[in-house]
Amino acid sequence: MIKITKEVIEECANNMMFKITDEELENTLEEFDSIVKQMSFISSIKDIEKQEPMTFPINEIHSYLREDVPSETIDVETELKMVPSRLGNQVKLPKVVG
Amino acid sequence: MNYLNLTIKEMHQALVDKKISASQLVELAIEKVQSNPCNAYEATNFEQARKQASLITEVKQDELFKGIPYVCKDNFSTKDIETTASSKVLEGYIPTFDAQVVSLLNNAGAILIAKTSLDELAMGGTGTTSHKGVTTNPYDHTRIAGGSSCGSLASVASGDVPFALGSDTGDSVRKPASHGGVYGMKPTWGRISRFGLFPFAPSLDAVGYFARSTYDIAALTNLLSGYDSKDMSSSTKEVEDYTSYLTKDIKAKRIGYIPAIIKAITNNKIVESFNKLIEKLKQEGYQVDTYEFPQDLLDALYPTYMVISCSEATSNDANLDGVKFGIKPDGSAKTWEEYMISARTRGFSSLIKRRFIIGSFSLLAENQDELFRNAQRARRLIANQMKDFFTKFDYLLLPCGRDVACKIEEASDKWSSKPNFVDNHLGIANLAGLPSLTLPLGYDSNLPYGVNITANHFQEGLIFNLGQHIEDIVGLANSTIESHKEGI
Repeated sequence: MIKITKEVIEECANNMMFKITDEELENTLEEFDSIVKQMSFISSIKDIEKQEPMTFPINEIHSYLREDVPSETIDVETELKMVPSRLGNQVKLPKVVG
Repeated sequence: MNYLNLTIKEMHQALVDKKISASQLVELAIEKVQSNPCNAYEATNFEQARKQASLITEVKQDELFKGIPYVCKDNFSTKDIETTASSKVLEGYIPTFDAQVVSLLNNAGAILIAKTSLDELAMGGTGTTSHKGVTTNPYDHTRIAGGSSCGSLASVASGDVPFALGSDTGDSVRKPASHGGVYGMKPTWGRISRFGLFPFAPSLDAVGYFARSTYDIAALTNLLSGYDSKDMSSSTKEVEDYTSYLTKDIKAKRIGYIPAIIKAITNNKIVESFNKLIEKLKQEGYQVDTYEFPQDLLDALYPTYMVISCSEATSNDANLDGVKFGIKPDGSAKTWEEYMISARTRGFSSLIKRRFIIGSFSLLAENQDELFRNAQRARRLIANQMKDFFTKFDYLLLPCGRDVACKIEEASDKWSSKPNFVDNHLGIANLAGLPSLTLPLGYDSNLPYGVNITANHFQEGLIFNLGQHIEDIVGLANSTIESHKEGI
């Protein structure tokens, strides 16, 4: 595990695409002592590394592909009703290309 | 007669017998919702509810949910009703569709009265972190309702409605149910479609529900269960008639409990009630015995849950960027990155940011194997332990936590450096995907506490069979704050 520092916390916040205040950073850094201690309860389980990681609790048959037939879709106007910022029939964002 | 204090079954009979109309019931529920002192609601649906009720002129015997008022946690999409999951980041989001469970209830004639508060984005266990403030416990407003489904609990325990939808990722229905003296159910992972429920940690998330009797919980399980092509994780397993289990004479009589958890409970009254219940169950022919759950796995429960849930949440909530729905844009943003960063910085509270940082930290390339993968490995061991448990027992029976609901100022979402399995053991059912029901067990100084039954995958019927026995022994079906005060 990499050492937890202010820079690491800022990197994590940056990965998550939000900014944190100095107070949030200090509080999180302080709490990480307990977090790291808690995480050690997992790593100290005997032979933990030999286990197969479990993602889902039940192995069900999942249909990832459906039949190739048209189904219900949302029309553009309905979709755009949810959009906080629009221009005509498009979502409006700052320029991507200068 | 207070018709809102009836169970679904009783309310249905009153509608069939025309003792009350659906419109009258809806008006009573609206009045109660408006005067609820717990800060339990996010949005209302009064006009639509009145309209829907006005169309009901007759309720037939086989139309159990027709005309029954209910409320729904605000992390289920509801068409044309603002749905925020109690987070600033979703303020202004008005879905264009209903969650599958809302559609099923609507088709059955149930009437949605209001949307309820939750811990922001369902990430919390106290009911204190909604963007609209703390939701209080109806039994004592200086105490927590528990979370994350705090508003739904407060509504059902206050007697505003006979049932409510919630969601349960770690214990978010079953723990509040204990704090409010009502029934709270989390079915087997995949039993009920989650289409339209905002995901928090999909490998753990389940639709849950609150009600005030075992019968009502079983009837809701009948209605809501089943395969849904819109949810790839929903099970194709046949849906049984769960209400038929309430009176069945079944052979499953083996109950196990974990002594380490009982030992860690600090409230003696809870232990006494639990021990009394065990004695009564033994007299009824149940075999009750202890099961030694390895201590290292108990100690690892909380971090395993937190690492997995926070890590999954980081990707599930990546779409909360203010572009497609939710929070209003920052007009000064010069680039799309600035636009999204601004939306997420303004939209998430400090608590949510902290959970995302923990998830992001666990997923960093250098940490992923030691933290995230190890948590998944611990999950395997915990699930395997429950497999072993079910070779010896049919039910896991335990109190829900160390004590009754704590004072609001004592509630904390912060990590402690010490193991805390006694307050987090209900999460075993989420990690292993098991069905689990909390039901009322007793009161300490007029504050409720519950007991929890967990069974093997898709054994909801067994849970309801034992649940009905416990309900008969304990005698706390259909408790609300009002009926409890009358009984004192």
